[in-house]
Amino acid sequence: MADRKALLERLDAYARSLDARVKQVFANVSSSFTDIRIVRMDGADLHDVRPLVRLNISVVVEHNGKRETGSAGGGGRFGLERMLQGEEAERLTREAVRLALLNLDAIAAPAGPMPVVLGPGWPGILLHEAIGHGLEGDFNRKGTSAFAGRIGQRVAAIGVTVVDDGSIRERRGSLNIDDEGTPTGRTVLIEDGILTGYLQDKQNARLMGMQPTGNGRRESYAHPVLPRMTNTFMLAGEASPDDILKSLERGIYAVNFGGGQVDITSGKFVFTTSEAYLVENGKIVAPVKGATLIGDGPSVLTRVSMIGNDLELDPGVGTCGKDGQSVPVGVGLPTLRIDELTVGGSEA
Amino acid sequence: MSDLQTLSAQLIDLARKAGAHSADALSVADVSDAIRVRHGVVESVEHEDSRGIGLRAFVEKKEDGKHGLAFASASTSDISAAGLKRLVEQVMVMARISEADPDAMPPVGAVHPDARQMTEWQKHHPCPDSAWSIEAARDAALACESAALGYSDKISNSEGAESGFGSMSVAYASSDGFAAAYDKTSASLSVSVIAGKNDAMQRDYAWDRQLSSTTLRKPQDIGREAAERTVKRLGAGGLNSGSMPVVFEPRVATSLLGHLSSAVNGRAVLQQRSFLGDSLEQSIFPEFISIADDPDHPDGLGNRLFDGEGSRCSRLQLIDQGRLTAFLTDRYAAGRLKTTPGGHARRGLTGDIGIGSSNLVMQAGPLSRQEMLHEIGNGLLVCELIGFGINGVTGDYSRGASGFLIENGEITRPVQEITIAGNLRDMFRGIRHVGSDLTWFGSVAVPSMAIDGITVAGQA
Repeated sequence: MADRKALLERLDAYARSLDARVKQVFANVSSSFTDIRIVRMDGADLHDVRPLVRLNISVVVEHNGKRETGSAGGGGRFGLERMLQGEEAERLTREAVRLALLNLDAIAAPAGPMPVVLGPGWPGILLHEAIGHGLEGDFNRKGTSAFAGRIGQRVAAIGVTVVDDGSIRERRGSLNIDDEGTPTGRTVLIEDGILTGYLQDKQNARLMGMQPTGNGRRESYAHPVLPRMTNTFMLAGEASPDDILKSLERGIYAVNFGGGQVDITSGKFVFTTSEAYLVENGKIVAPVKGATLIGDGPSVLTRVSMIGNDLELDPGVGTCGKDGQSVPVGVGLPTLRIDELTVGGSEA
Repeated sequence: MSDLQTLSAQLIDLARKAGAHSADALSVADVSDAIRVRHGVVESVEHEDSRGIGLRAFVEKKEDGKHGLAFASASTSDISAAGLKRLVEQVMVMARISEADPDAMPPVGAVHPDARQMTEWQKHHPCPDSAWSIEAARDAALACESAALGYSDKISNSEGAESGFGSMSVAYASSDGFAAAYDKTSASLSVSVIAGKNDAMQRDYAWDRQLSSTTLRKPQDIGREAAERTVKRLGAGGLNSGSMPVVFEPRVATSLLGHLSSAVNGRAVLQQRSFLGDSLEQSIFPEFISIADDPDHPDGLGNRLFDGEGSRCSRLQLIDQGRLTAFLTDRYAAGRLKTTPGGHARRGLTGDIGIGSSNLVMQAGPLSRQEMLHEIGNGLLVCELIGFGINGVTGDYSRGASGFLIENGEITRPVQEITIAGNLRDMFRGIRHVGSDLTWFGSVAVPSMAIDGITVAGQA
């Protein structure tokens, strides 16, 4: 407990030392070890230990009477020691301060459909909202998802491959076994643009005549199992990130996001920028204020025209909500160009 | 005294013996049932029975010549003697490493309700039985879903109907001797259905929640509302970008009151995290807008006699003819903002005290929905919002929306895949009309609102 307090005090002082415009600092760190035992009627008796650490820091800056905020976070499935030592906590603090100061100069985002380039890492929340939820087994068994009955159909451009992988070491969304004891692994959701798979728990897999994929998850013993994502990301392509940005004649380059949401049935999804830039003729013009991007899950990836060679997974901040249950998840993306997405700015 | 009250009092005693300056405790026992049906068949039945107790303890600290109180809080579900002892030890360790705050507000000397007020309150706010058995709840869900499915042959699928009911007992005690307990029940019914097929599917929903199932809307009415809403969305298309008046129907207008409530939260104001922090006594709405926090309203589910610190609650005018007249406060925020504690402390079993409204009630206006659409002429009616694009520090606003196009005062077609954006300051000031259709959603009562000059993004 004292170690965590010392870490937060260190970050508070550090954030304020970075820039005199930093007026408020909010930092919190949480760490847990969850002991899991799963006993099944088929005689399986399984055990797992799941560490989870998360640090979050947000700051309020003020300059010439104008206030703004920025935040950053990170973590994963490892012990607290790693966050207490090393540079990661300081790096996240610098990131929060940088974002807040950047936002002070942000102009209103444009409004309307336009090309969008997404940066690598956390912008993979696009996949989580646009694709991942719609491919969860329960919605497809019930026929309530916009993706229902579409296996084998083209839902993305050539070159787009999206996977869900719960077996990656130390990632926030990773699990050795899911909450029904099924080992996690890599499930290919979209392969070269073609829809290939759903995310399954045991019940929905059985009812659909498919195999469980290690995606049966529950918030705690007090919640029922649902098919859920683990770490959802797009595999890297071949384009250089620079070339992708240079290709943008007029549009938005979005590097960081807050949360998102999806209407499973109509397929419409949103996610909101927290760091984005107006780009003209391949050059960054100015940072823009947070804007919600809205699109259509089953068609958005058909408009992907360039895929970067720089796949990154997010820093370990994602929490996914479904039916009132929260579980930690990860996402990832290479730099990506989408030829058209509606940007919900206030500058009509 | 109830078992829970004895437990809370015991904990405070233990904390004092362990060296605490002062302490307060909250215990909660919760029993709830939920049943979900889909296509006329029971899909799941859930039962939950949980109890827990939370302790907040303050300790005196002297460091570098500075003097003050530090506190910590923790909770447990182990209410054995050994469990309570461990909880006290844990909280004391945490409090001792916490920072002293010269403005700390220990749970001593709050303005509590007196014995007469407590008796009166219980007389006027009897706790009804939720009045459902699991069978009756199932039958209500079945009737609700059946009404939705039978509404039109355009209804093609169901996400199911769910009914839930439960009761909760809460006991609070503080080291200045205040102790009180109350029970609360609830019953709810919701349904969600789908119309259309393949890539043209639409979904919508309807719900109600009350203290007792006897006062819930009829299951058939909830079912029909969900189906009617869903069918109306069929064939939704896009809409070209532009600035236009937007009508928020009551069920989405609640979110605007939610943003107001967050912005007038005294703790957010202290932390410079509110875009309304410097706006006290200023006109932030047009003159015809008044909004109150009312902890004793016959239609509200947020009624309370005392808050999470045992402070007595009373009605507070937040917006008076457009002017921001008060912030929501607990004792800490009130102390630092130099005002009277408003009785808005909200606390869970663990963690710091938060601030929240009781019942948030907006005054209705003169116009029917139809009259409002006629006044607007051309614009957008919003029926659903998704996403989280609100910056509480600046008031910047951008969210996903769906609804209906308004042309020449009439609803002409459903629209989707659009966003609405602006700044909450401008949106509050830009309210042109308020409807007469005041509607309660649990603890928020709000009419339709028409707001000028919102940027809509989309593509027809």
